[in-house]
Amino acid sequence: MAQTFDAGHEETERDLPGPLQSGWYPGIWALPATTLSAASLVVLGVVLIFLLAGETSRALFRLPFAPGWALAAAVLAWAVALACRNRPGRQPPRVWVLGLAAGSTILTLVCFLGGDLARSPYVHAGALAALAASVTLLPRLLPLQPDDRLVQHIAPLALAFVLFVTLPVSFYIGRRAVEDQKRRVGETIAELSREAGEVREVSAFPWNSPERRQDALREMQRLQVLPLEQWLPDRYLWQGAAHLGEDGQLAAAYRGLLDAVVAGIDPARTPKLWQSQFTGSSEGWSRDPLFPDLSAAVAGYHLRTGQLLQRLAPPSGESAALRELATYYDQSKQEVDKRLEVLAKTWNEDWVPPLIAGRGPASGPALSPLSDLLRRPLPPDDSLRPASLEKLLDLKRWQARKMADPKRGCGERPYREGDFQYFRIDCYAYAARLGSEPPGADLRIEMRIVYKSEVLGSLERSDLPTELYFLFPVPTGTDPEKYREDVMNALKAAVRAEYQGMELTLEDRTSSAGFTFQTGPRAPLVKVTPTRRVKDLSGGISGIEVYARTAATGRSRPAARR
Amino acid sequence: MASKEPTPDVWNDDARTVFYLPPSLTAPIAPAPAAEPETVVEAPEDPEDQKVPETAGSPGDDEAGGEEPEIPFPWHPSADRPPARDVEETAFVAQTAVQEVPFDRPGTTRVGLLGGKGVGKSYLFQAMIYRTLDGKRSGALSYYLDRDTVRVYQTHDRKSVPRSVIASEFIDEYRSWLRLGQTNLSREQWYRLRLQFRTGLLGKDKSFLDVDFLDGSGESFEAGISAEREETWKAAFLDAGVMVFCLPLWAAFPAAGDVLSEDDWEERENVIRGFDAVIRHFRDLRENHQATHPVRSILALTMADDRRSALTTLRNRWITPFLEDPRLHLDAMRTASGVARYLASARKVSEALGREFDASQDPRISGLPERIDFGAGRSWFVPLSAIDGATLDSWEKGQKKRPRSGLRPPVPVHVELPLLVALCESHNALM
Repeated sequence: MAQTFDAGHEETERDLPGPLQSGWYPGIWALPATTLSAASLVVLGVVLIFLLAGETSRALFRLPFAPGWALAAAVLAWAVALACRNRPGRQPPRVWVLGLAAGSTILTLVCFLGGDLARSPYVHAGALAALAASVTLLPRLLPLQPDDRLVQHIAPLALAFVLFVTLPVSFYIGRRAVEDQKRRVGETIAELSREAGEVREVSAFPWNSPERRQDALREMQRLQVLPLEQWLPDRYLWQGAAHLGEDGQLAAAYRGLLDAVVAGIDPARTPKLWQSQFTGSSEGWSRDPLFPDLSAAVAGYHLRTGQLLQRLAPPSGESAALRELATYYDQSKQEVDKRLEVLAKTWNEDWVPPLIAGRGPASGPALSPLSDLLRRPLPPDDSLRPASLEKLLDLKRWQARKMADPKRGCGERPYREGDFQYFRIDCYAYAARLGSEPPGADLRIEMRIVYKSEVLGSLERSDLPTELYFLFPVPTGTDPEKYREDVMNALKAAVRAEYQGMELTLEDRTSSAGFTFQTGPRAPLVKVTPTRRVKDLSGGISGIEVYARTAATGRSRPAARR
Repeated sequence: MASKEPTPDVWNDDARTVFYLPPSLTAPIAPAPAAEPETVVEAPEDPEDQKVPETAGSPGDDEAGGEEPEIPFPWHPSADRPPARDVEETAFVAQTAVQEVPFDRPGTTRVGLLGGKGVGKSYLFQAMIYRTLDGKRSGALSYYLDRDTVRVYQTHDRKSVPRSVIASEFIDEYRSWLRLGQTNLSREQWYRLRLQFRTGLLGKDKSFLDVDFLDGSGESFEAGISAEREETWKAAFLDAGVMVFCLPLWAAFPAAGDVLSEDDWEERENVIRGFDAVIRHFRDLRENHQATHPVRSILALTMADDRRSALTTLRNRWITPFLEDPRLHLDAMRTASGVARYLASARKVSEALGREFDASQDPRISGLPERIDFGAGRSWFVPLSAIDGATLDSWEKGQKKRPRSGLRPPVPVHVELPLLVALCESHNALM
């Protein structure tokens, strides 16, 4: 009997789903673009929580080279955003990747440019979390087709993989950050203490010893290169120190350095500039070769101590140590400000406060008016001023020698020239030069009280000056003729003020004319005469020379130009 | 029908030119050529229409009815209609403004739709358009489609500039349960279905998926690549990145017992032979032109609702639930989770069908997955139904006396899945 064959097919697959399979598995909650975005969001949240939930991590977490991490996050997020921009689909994946890219970019900018904020543990945690979130999105670059089993599993796998890698890495970096912070706090305490000692050593140097000028320059150089900026604790180091229980030691070291800097600003201990910028001789005028270095060093000292003081302003913070430190700093700053107020009223150091206050070159050196400067006291007892022409011309030599104090900007210069013996008291006033590099000072007024013996004679203790000599270098960019008028006007104003509005007799009607005055019927007539010709001091800088003589001592020619 | 209304002008819609036939051409056009005269409520007045013989069986059967008079497709179902080229030449010769972008343009995703005689290619294409008419009810594509996105373009040859056609009119026959006629060689048409999607960094830009469809004669596809047909084959299929091959599910997996009649078995043999021939010709085309690029193959197992299929579980789990409550499924598929769940199911069904092919005792069937592998990985097997064949048959056999207007609209099942696969292939849409 022939066998019958049924060509029909026998169904073998009976375990088939309906069109809409249901289930709890996250892989089928949405399409991969959406589930990967959700996984990325979860990664961001989990990593942030992991890093910021603990107090230690929140205070101390730091990434090595955080800008690189943030930049990598931004690059990856933008790569995904741009590569997927032409894919069809709804908004959530686009919005998420765009938001992540924008956020990562902002983090990158903060890390590169953000200063104090760039060191925040929140920023560092954000950079790591953003990178992990961006990496989670990378599978979106894969060409995955609907028949691929990965379609349902790609997001859970990416989530698991990234968390599996990121959390241990975060933990490891966090541990390293705590150890680094401990080490950093210890090193900072040591360094602040060391720098405090160095500042004390420098400010204790005997600046007024002329024979140790080279040592003085070296000392000032030490102050310039003090690496305070790289060791200044920011608010996050303070947070870490507080968390580690070492903020008290850190504050003590900080206060020690602050005290040393404030002490270094004490006028009694600061280096002084008392040197002429120009030297006169029978061949003419020339620049003093020592002056640029000396002025740069003294100006640099003041500038640096001012910088140190400003840098030492403690960051704002909630810890008790920081609040106490802020109060202490304010008190110290007030003390310094008072000193600067006093300095601003001196003859020889009124140029220093702008340097210490850290006034920028753009704001200018804040010069005192010449007429005011000429009325500043020379000796501390306020008995003599540059405008006290009659008194100065009546100053016996032994009295004048008391003025020779470098701290007051004056020094004595005895010498012999030809058949004459000379003795001079030279006093200097300066203007700060902030715009140049390095900053320095320029001579503003040089005043000489000149004593001269008879021919082949010698000077006696009670000899009187033969003349007062003033040199006013013309500031760069100023018309010399105009400046001569300014100088003479300032001199007249200062003399009038010195002698309570006394009437001056002008030689002619021009502003730059000399003048005479007499303080009483029996007082000698004082004659003030500017030179007719503006001197070339050197290098194109000219100067205004003014002489003051009494009728008894007056001579038509200058007595000394050395 | 909108085309019956006299609309003399060409008008612009959304910066695209849409074509209306002039009244002189639309007047003689009459509907319903495929229905039996006694069952037609809206019987055509034109006596010529009475010459159109009745058809029976599955939609594909009629496509295969080689001896039947040709039914102009898809423009207007009238045998009186002048040849399409003539229409174009007489009606639009002076209206250059109706030109659209050419078919061959960069960025077009070429999706080829290929099958032998009577496998339901035209039904599938019309069902795709029907499914995408309403972006909110486009099944798995709803997640991606922008609003009011479907555009259909038509031309008679690829060198001509295509015209935009009104999609709702284009599928009028399909929607009205009118049997689509066989496409013969002289009535070949090129179509482009353009779907618009949101793209761009903020989702404000647009991108397009263009599905090129050569509504050609299945008979000619089976006949092979002749010298005069080679250019057409090349244009239609050579550069396609995604190929949708059509094969009736019941032909691949016929029910056992006496469910199939002798005619059905004979028809099955023809369909399988035709399918093999088409695949062979496509492979030859690639080999002749040294085409090495991978092609993603999708085997559209049409007529999955047909009771001649042995896969009753598949029908009951995959087709029938959708047919019974399409709204529920369409609404669910609009969501991201709906699409994801749907794709997961579709993948499982495709894998199950792969195993089903492997289990077939007929080597022509068990070897079929390998024959349609063109280097892009595992083929997709998508059981689908473009139209409920039983309803169509019963209506045409006179068992349904109601007017067509009383019939509920057709429910195409899973016809958008090949489009979604093509979208993923071309735009990596899942990621």
